[in-house]
Amino acid sequence: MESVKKNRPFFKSSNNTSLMMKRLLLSLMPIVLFSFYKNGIIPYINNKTDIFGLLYPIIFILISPLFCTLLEYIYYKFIIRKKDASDIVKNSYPYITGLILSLILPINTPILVLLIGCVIAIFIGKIIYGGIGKNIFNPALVGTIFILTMYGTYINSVGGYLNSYEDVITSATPLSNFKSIEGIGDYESLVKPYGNLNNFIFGFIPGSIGETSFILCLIAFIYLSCKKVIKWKIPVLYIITVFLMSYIIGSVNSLGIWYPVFSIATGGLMFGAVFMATDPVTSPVTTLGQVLYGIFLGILTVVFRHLTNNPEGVMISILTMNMFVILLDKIGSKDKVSIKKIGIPIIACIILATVISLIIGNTYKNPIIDNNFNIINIENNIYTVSQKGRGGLIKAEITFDGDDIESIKIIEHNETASYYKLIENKDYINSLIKNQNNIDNTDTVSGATISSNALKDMVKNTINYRKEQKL
Amino acid sequence: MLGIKLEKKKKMSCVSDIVSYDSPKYVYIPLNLGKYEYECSLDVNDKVKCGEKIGICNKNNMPLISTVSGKVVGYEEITLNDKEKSLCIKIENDFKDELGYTECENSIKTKEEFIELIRDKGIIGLSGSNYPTYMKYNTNSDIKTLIINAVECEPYVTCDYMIIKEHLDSILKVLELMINIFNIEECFIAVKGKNNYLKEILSTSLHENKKIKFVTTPNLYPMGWSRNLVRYIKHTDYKKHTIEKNILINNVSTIYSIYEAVFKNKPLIERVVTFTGEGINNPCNVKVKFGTMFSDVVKHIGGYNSENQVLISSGPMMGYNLFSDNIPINYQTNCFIAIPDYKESIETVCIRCGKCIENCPVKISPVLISENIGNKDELKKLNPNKCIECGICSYICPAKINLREKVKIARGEINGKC
Repeated sequence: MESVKKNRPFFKSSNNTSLMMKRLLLSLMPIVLFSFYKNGIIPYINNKTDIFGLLYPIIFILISPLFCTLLEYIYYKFIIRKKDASDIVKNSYPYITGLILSLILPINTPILVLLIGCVIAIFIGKIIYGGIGKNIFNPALVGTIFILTMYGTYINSVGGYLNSYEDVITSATPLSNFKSIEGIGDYESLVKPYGNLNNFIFGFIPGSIGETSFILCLIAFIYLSCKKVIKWKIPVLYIITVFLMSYIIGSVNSLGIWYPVFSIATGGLMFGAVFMATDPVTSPVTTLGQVLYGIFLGILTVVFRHLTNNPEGVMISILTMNMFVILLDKIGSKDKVSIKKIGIPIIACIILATVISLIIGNTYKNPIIDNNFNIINIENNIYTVSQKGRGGLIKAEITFDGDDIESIKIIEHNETASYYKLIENKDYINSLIKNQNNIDNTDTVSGATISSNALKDMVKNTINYRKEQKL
Repeated sequence: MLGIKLEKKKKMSCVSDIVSYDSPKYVYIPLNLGKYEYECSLDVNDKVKCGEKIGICNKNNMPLISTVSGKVVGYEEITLNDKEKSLCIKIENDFKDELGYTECENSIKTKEEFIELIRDKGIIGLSGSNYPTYMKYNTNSDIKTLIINAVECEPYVTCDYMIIKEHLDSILKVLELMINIFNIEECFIAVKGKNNYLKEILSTSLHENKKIKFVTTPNLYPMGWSRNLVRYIKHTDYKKHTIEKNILINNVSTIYSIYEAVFKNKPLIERVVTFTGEGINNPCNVKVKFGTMFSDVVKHIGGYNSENQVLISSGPMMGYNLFSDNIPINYQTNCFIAIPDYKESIETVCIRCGKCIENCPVKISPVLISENIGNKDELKKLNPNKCIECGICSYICPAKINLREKVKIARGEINGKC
């Protein structure tokens, strides 16, 4: 018997790329249905929109994958005239790009803008690099960033991220609200406007069409990891890094555990981590590379959220890290695996993350609100202020010369005369002026502690107030 | 991480007992086995006996042994596996079964006697490397641990399992002898987990000698790879040879041939080969003489069930594709598989999923190696020479890219053979 020559091995796994993509598509379905429910059904039930508004989200989400597929087909069939155009398109999975693109856009994006985004995603994001497998940047993100930079202002002017039901509740996404607050903010200002943390977890907060539900993304992550479709290390490390860094930032400002939870449940972080950071083509292939990629994504997201004007950090972080994939794979593919070689980069990352979060935490302190302190009047450099003392309000005129206090004049006080005498005797007010740069360490007057502390706080609060005004 | 789970496909060939086939019309004995070349001075029409020494390898002093009695018909060049060609002696069987040795029990007392006997009887490792067994035992270091490899992690193959099932007493007997000669401290028989039948017979017969233990390994591929076995059983790692850690690994088929050499004075002339696959009518294990054509054995056990078959020798993962079944069986053949209507999968674009790296047992990066073919400096850093050709990367790849062949090309490139 003669036999046909075949390539070995003769055993191949039943898994293939198309099956992986089908599973990815399946895991996105609950998210699509949820966004239909949130952006279509809820407004419709509450009579905020008509039948067109009900169907708009689903039309919006479905038109993009169809259009992306059509674009690639046209390109391969009519522009470069490949004979097996339909096969190429079938193995290139443009619909995944299209679907993710539409899910991360604001609901008020006009369909025409969405279609422009598809063209950018497919051509600039994918085809100019040579098609699937060769692109450097995540194509869906290229399209989204293009839309948000070119049409962001326009989209915001027609409603931005809010669907027709949501503008009743509040005025912006949690992260743009976060940006508008001075300092880090607190539970009242960050979470209360949107109800409670459950709304964040389940996704009933304003945001992009499909990325708001933390819990659905988590379910998709578990499904995809069990089926080994995605590189699970990236999202796990990404989320953990953001969580821990936010925890440090929160602790510095004595915020509770809700703060890191808020951080990982907003801004499409979970959606980005599960569906975009794990895009196989544009993420590292080596294990160490994936670990470092995840940690750096987390660091960058926290940095971009806190230190730039852009409220969203996820998309920019992923696009930035896409550029470093080749480098990370070089680090990760070192043939000899030793604890030294793996440990040093990881420990360096952890130290970097801790330092950055401490810096952010200390820079963005919440302003200290002292209810006993009041600014009565500001005239040129003279601040008329009041502070509650032992017997009532102490009123004073504090004159600044540049950044420094020139003089403090007590206008009115109700402190016990004998105690106040002690303060005057010690020349306490002049010593406050003298030590104004080191006010916390100025000694109080013994025997008149409460009164001298009140004076001290008054000077301190005035200095802080002036500093903030200048900023 | 020790490996991945594969479909077993072993059931079909291990239900019936080992069949014997010792009457081939012709046998073809190769004079060239990889690195080892044999010298033979026989002429056409010379008479030979079964088990007679007919030549010698100058490199390692191993004898060449005739596997049948009869006369030399001539010399022929035959392709042995997918590439290598070798000159073979063709011997015609006269079916008289004249023995070139006397059947008797050798009394072995010392290490030297043992090593000389297994050299003289031509015992070669039957696990695929063609490495003479006496060279393994001829070492200055103490052998403290002996691991008997009966794991058979490749799908389809069942010959080691059948040997344990049918010849366990013989194996234990020779192991006890070897433990005494070499002062071995512990001896492990490694079989694949969940082999309930083996577990039973092993646990009932092992209590006599406390030094012989049996281990069940996880059902993973490549669990039978020596590095994995040492890691799993002894929790240690070695640099180049297991003997660095005073460990010696031998295949169970080899141990059985040592038994025959010691207690029956029989040279290595036959082995058990699994004939299996969906394309064979009666899959079973057959004891065959070296040099027998595959076609003769298949005809003897019942033939193929259809015309269009893909033939594989030595397991579907590491084995070779046979372009014809008119090829003689040699030492490394442990299995012959016929698969009908084999469909080759279509290669698509790599999407960099990283599965080949995640699952590689030697921790190299097949996808990066294949991307860097042609870039010698980069390739050297990626170290494709560590590859053991287990084929997991090609198996696991969702795009069906044949990564093992690409790693092989890369190896050739940096080793200077293009």
